Amino acid sequence: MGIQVENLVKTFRRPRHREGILGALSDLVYREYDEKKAVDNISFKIEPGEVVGYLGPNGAGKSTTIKMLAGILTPTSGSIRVGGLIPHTQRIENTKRIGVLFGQRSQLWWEIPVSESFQLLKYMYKISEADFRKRLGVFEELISLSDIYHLPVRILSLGQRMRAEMCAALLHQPDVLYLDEPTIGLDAVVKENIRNFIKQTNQETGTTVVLTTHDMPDIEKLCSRVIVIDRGRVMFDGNLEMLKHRFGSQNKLIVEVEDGLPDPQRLLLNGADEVIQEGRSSIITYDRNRRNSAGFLSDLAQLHKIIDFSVNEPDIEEIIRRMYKSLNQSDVESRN
Amino acid sequence: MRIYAELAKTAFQSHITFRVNTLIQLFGRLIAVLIQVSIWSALISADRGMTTLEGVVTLQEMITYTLLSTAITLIVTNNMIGQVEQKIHKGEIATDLIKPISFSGLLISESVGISFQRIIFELVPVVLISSLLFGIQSASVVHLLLFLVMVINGTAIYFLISYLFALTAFWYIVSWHFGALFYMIMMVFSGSLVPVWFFPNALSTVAEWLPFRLIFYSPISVYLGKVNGMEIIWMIVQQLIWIAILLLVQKWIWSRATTKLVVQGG
Repeated sequence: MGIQVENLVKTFRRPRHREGILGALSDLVYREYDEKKAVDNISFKIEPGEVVGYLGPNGAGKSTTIKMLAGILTPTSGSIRVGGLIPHTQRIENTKRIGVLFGQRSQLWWEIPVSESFQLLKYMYKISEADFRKRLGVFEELISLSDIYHLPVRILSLGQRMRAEMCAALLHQPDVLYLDEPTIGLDAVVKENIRNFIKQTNQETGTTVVLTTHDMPDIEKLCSRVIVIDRGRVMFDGNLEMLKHRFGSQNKLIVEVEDGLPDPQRLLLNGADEVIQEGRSSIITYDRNRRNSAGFLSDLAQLHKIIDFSVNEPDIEEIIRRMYKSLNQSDVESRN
Repeated sequence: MRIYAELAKTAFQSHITFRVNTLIQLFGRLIAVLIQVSIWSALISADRGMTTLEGVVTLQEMITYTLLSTAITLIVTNNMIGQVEQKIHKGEIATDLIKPISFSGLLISESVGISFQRIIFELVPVVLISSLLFGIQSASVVHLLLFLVMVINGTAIYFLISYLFALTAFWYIVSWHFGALFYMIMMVFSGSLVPVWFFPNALSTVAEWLPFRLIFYSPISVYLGKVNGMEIIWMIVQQLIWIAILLLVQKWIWSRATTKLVVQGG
C-alpha cells in the first residue's frame, strides 16, 4: 500500500505565558497565542514495499507527521492518502490496515499478560484463530515470545516489552508499518533483533515501513530511502547513496609521524578543512572531491617520517551530523 | 461488537485484583448510608411522615429512596473524566487512536466492566446489609421491572454526559474542574441526595428540564409507586429522547475534538 502526502501542514496554537504574577494575571484576562508550524508544506510519495527512514533533529516534525499518517492528528491543510484512504476522516478503516509502534509508549494493556493483550487484539482486528496461531509461530521463530508470553506487561523489561510491542503492531499483518523510534533505549542485542524482525517482515509480507530514528545503524541496515526534514520542511529525499554523495564527501586522514606533530598551518594551506591533533596523531579532514590523501602524505613525507596512517570515509552518523549542521548554517545565512 | 464485550471483561478482571480497595470502599458506602438514614430519621416523623408537593412521604419510603439511590450511584459512577484527562495529559491517547475501535466505545466498555465489578463487590453487600439493618420497602414485580429498565436507560444517560464532560480535555488538557462541576450539578438535580419532592417550585422546574433526574429520581419514584401509567411511559420516552440527543451531540463534539487534539510528550 502506497502513501501519498501533498502540501501537508500542521500548525499548533499554544498560549504564550507572560512572566511573573502580573503576567499570569494578564494571561487570565487576555491570552496571546503563538502559532507554531510543526509541519510546513511537506510532500512525498512512498511506494508499496519501500522502507523509508524519516529523519530529522529533535522537534523537526517527524512524530507529528507519523501521527497524521496514522490518523491520530488532523492536518491543518494539505492531503494524505494511505492506500486510497484519508487517515483522519476514515480513522477506523485506516487503522485496520496499519501497524504503529511508538518506542516511548505502550499499546499493550498494562495489567494483563501479553497473551491476553494479544487475544484482545485478535478480536479487535477480527483475526481468525488459524491466522493468529500461524503468526504467533512466525513471531516465536523471529523474535521469541514464549519467555514473556504469560507475564503481565507492567513487569517486563524495556527490551522484553518492545518485542511484545513489535508483535502487537504486526499481529494483524498490516500493509503499512509506522515505527516511531522503535529502538530507543534498547541494548545492542535487542536492537539487532528488532531490526532483523523489521527486515524479515518487509521482505516476506511486502509491508511498507516508515520509521523515525536517531540510531544510524537502523538506517543503514533497513532503509533504502531516507527523507530528512528540519523545522517542518523536507531537506532531502533520496536513497542513501545520494545522501552520502552530497553530505559524505568529507574524508578523514589520520597520520602519525615519528618526530612530534606536523605543522597544522601547512596542512590547512594545502587544502585541509580541519586539523585536529590528539596525542601523537593528527586528524586531517578534507573534501575528497577536491583533495586526496596521497597529496597530503607526499607533502608530509618531505618533512617527517610517517609511521602510520589511515583514511576513514564518513559513516552515516557523521553524514547526518554534517547535514544538520549545514541546515543550521544555511538558516543563519538566509537570516543574515 | 465482540471486542467491546472483551474490553469490558478485561476491565472487570483488572479491577477485582484490588481487594483492600474494595473492602474500604464498601465500608465507606455503609457509613454514608448510615448518615443519610440518620438524617432522614431525625427529619421525618416515624408515624405521620412528611407532607410534600407529591403527597405524604413516609420514613420507610425515604430510607428505601436512600438505599436505591446508593445502588444507582454504584452502577453509574465512572471515571471517564479522569481517564480521558490522563490519556490527554500523558499523550496515551495516541495508542488508543491507532486501534480500530471507537474511542467512546473503548471508554464506555471499560466503564461497564468496572461497574460490574462494583455491582458484585459493593452494591450487593451494601444493599443486603443496609436492608437488613434499616429495612427496604418492596415493590410490585411490574414496578421493579420498570425500575430496572429505567436504571439501564439512566446509566446510558449518565455515561454519555460524563463522556461529553471528559471530551473537554481535548481543548483544555486539564479537565478535572469540569468533572467537579459535573458531580455537583448531578448531585443536586438528579435527586440522588435529596428527592425532587422536597425542591422549592423554581428548582423543581429547572430539574424538570434537565436530564439528571431521569437517572435517579424518576426510576426510584417508579419503584416506590409514586407515579403511575402514562407518567411512567412519558418518563421512559424522555429518557430515550435524551439518549438520542446526547448521542448526536457526542458525535458532533467528537468530530471537533479530533481537530483540536495535541499529543503531549512527542
